Amino acid sequence: MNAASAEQKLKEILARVIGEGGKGRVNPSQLDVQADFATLGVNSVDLMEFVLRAENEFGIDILSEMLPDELPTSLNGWARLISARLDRPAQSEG
Amino acid sequence: MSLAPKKTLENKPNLAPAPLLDLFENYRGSFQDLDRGLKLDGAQMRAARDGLVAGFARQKNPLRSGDRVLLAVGNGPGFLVAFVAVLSAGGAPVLLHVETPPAELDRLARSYDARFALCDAWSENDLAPFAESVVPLNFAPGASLNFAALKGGAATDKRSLPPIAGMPLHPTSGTTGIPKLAARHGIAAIAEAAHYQEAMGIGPDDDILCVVPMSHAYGFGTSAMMPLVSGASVVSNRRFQPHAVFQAFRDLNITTFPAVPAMLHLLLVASRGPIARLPRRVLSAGAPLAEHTAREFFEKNRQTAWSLYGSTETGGICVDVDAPTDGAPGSVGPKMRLVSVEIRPIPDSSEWKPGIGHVAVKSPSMMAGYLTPTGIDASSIRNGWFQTGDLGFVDAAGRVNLVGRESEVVNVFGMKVIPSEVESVVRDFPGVTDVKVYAGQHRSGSQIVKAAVAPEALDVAALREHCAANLVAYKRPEVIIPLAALPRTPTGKIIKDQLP
Repeated sequence: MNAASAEQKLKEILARVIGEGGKGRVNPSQLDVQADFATLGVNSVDLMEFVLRAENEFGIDILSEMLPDELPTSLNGWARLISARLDRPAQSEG
Repeated sequence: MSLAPKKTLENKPNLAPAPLLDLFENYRGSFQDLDRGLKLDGAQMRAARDGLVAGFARQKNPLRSGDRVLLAVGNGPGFLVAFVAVLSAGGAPVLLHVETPPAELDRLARSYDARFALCDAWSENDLAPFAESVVPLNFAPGASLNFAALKGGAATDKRSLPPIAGMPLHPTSGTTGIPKLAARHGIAAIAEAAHYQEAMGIGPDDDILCVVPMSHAYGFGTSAMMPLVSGASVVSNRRFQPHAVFQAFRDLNITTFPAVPAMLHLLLVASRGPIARLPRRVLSAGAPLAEHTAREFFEKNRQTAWSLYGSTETGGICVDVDAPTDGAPGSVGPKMRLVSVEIRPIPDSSEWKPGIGHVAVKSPSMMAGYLTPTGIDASSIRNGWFQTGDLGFVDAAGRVNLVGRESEVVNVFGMKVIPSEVESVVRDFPGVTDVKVYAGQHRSGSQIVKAAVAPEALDVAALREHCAANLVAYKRPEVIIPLAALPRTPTGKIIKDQLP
């Protein structure tokens, strides 16, 4: 999966988390991929849920390998991280 | 400049910390800090306590009897050791979140007239701008806490609060939303833990996983005091992380897990099926457990989460050990055996159904009172009863049901945020002409902090940075809404219904 399709999935996950978190319905396409999560009103619980849903969606483990302070804080940062993680097994097999 | 009259509790043995210190002296369990890989048994913690007390005395500015110490120490043996060491030295520990930023520690030192801070999240350099001296005090091999003599607490010649020896102090919103220090003496803390022990059947064979802050009244009661009373052991993390919780369940024979609703929600998001080796006691406190979370938790695990209800002032009130499987919203179960609950009428209660009133509590675990410039003020406790600020009713089965709260305090995942404190920090940001901090709703049943600010053309990102430097994470506004002007009545009162 490339960064662009990972980014689209992540937008959908984040929009759901923000919307269910009580901050109003969010259109995934309107999320700014550069924006820092703090400016989107994403709190620590929302961030945790976002990561857990991303882990489930992409079948990877992030929280066990990264400290909370090391996690990306924007969608495009997450897209890069996810696509790098998804590429990792292929690289090791090659 | 007049000095407040010196008041200590040395002549009031029923408020002295001796019973609590005796329990620590005889503790046979252990505390394990999973983040730092540190495990200390009772004897090792007593040695660590002795080391810290000696360290306090060695300083150029030694800790004196009656001094307040801001205790910002993370979950683990270090928390209990630091807490007991301050009490043993005659100090009064003020229990704060481990990640309270240095600038906030400075502000609190001035508010609480505290001369010292004992922290483990901040380096000497972090604390230096606010401290006359910072000294690392080792309490175990490879483990130390920074002991800072604070400029804020020492700078004032107006002693706003009197010295108070050997008294644990818990910051609280009270029922009015005004920041206060609840003086919860050793006997009250022990009584609370004994109530929990009896209600839940906790014993020396139990292992508690603590991921809620031990500095918070809930974590303190269930994961610092209850082990001392019951002999149970504790393993802990500083932060909640679902995979780490699952691993602890799998590997460490955890029997008891105090959580908040948001944690249970996240565990459900993270688990695809039943949670392996789920502890037989899973507690939920700090905020109402949402019905859908309670139901999903039961459906996945065939086990109920027990709601626990208490307040900083009263200690624990209810533990719902017979919780219904379908998650009755607002129900926190029957009161514990030695606690009394009364529902008192609300004057002008037209907006509430009949039977709903103020929840009042009488309990052996009641605080002594609030610390004020003239000593401990117990006027909020009348004939042993304290009005919690919660609104609710008791149903036919004797179960306490909560329906709301009368103050503006924002409940962020169990941590109480006082709007006026946050508003004061926001107002200090250059350019802010008006601010109102209030609660928004989170799906977990908790609340979030919202701030409406004026003027509209405010640098919100810079305001967020300002808040991050001056407020611990849970107090920071998550939603900041710049407005041309805040909605106010002609007399200047905020029109809450018109806030975005």
